[in-house]
Amino acid sequence: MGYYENHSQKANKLTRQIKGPLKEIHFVTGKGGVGKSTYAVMLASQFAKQNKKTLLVEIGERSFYSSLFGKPIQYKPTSIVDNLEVAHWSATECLKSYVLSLVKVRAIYNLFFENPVSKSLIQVAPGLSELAIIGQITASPRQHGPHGDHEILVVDAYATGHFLNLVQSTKAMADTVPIGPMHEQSKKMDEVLRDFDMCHCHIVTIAEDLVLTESLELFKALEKEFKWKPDFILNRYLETTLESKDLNHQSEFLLQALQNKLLQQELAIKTLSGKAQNIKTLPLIKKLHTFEDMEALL
Amino acid sequence: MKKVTQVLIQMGPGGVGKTTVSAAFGFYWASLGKKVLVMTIDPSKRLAQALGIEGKKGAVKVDYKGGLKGELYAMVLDHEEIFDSFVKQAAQKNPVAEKLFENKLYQALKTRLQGSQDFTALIELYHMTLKAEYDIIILDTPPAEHAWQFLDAPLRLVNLFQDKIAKWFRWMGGESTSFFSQVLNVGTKQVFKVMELLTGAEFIQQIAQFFKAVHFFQDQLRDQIQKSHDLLKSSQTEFTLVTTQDELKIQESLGYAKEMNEKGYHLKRVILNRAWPEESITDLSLEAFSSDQKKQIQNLLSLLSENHKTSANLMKRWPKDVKVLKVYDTLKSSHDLERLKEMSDDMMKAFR
Repeated sequence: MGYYENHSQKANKLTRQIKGPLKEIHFVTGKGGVGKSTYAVMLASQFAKQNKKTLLVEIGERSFYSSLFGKPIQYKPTSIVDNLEVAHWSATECLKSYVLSLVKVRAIYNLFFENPVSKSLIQVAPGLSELAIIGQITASPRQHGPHGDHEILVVDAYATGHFLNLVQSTKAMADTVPIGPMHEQSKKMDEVLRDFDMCHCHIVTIAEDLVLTESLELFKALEKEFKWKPDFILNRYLETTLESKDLNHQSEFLLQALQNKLLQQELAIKTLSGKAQNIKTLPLIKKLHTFEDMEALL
Repeated sequence: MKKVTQVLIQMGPGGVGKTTVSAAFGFYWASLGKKVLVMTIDPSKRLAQALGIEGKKGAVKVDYKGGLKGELYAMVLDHEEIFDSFVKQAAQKNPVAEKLFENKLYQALKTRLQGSQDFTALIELYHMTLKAEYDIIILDTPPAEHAWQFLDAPLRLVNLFQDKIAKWFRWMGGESTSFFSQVLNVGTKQVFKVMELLTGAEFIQQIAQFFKAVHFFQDQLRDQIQKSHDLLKSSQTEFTLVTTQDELKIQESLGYAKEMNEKGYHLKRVILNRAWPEESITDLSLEAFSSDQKKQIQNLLSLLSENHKTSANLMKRWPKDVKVLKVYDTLKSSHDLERLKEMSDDMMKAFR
């Protein structure tokens, strides 16, 4: 027990140091194609319904939410329903807005981003794009760089391995650059990430053994590195009282395939139950294409 | 006479079981009597254990108790080692080039820069085909946000070093900080000031040192990447797309197929992993079940079939000369090598 008490004391102390309106950051991750973005929408809309000012953010170069919400989703948040805004933060946009806040003069800022030297610096510096994104996500608690006044941030983050790189990038950068402004800010970002009152993680997975294995490996890595206790969301769940053993000794190919699905699902529940404190299931449904479909799943 | 090694590149969206399919495809060719090497990037622990390559360096012969007509070898690509040995060889004991090993930027770059894994995979593939020890080499491409990165990233990496920008940083590394006031015009000075404000002088020094060292082998780098790319487009090389029946994954793969065709890569086949059976539900006899069970089975199967319907239609859109192999990856066998064999048997059937 002492173990947990010590850590929560430490976390509380950190929270007191943290300023700004932002109270919680929720990272949603999972292997590609398991329904990460869908769950992030559901989570964000749940917070919004509780009257918390929520920002749903997708990161990376391409936008999925633009097609989902039927309007261009950009760096600047777009309002969707009461208390819910959506933004798309690419590394370049985050870096641009940060540099603008530093130099204040747009002419110098333009000069910087149009200069081939800085262009190549941004390309070559490993971890810089990750740092720009984490920097934007943690701008409010660090009170450094431009940020909004949201209470909750739901981040539709990268897939498993790429996500681990993302959240580890701050420490890696602080170690690579031992002094200077980049070192200082990286260290502060890392402190925010390690505050587990502030940061929460949700791993979306499906009942396929490779996906499941990778999800469990990510869970272990996050628990070890950040002391986070991620939730598991088992998506495309078949709701039934049938068990795989009910379909023993069937020669029909379709029934064998169904039995295989049920067996994987039973194994998934068993494996996950041993790990996470919180497991949710989301049923497989016929169509899931619009925001309304996703809200209906709640 | 030296063998000409056939190269099979496995590409596809993330999360479709590309690594397992690559191993099963290797198993397939080995059971037909070929000497096969499967080069994997990041196998799951279980697959690595099953193949006997967990924690091992270089190619390891896979020990399958059921016996294989040919030979199956597998290896995990060790990026750091490949990168280091490439640099060591290219540096030719030049002290300036060897300084690269101490450079913090290099240490971070060799494993973490976008495209560095694609670069090492390509370099290693090229060297292994030169050795001509295998009939077939199967390369499982690195996981990426976009599978196309494997073909683009190494060239982008080379372009970066060709850039006249690299020259700027090299000058800086050679001069003292007074360089700013001597050579640069006012505009560029401003740019460097912002850069320094953002990152600190230390970081800029590291970049300068990095480019200075890299300069010594950029010609070799360009040469090797060019040769590897020639290999990818030669008649020696065939591409396979791996996908699942998920609508989004098929759409993504169809996009790759189009791009490959346009850019002159030989796409030969599609492997559809975790395929859903084509049988119709209405023909199914369910007399052995209670009425409640019967209803539940019908509901679940119609839900699953519905989910696969759109994708089944999409599957008709592959280019004409591309062969589709369906693999059913079930959990019938608990042993992983037996599972590879089952998948390989599915491929056998499809080829016939």
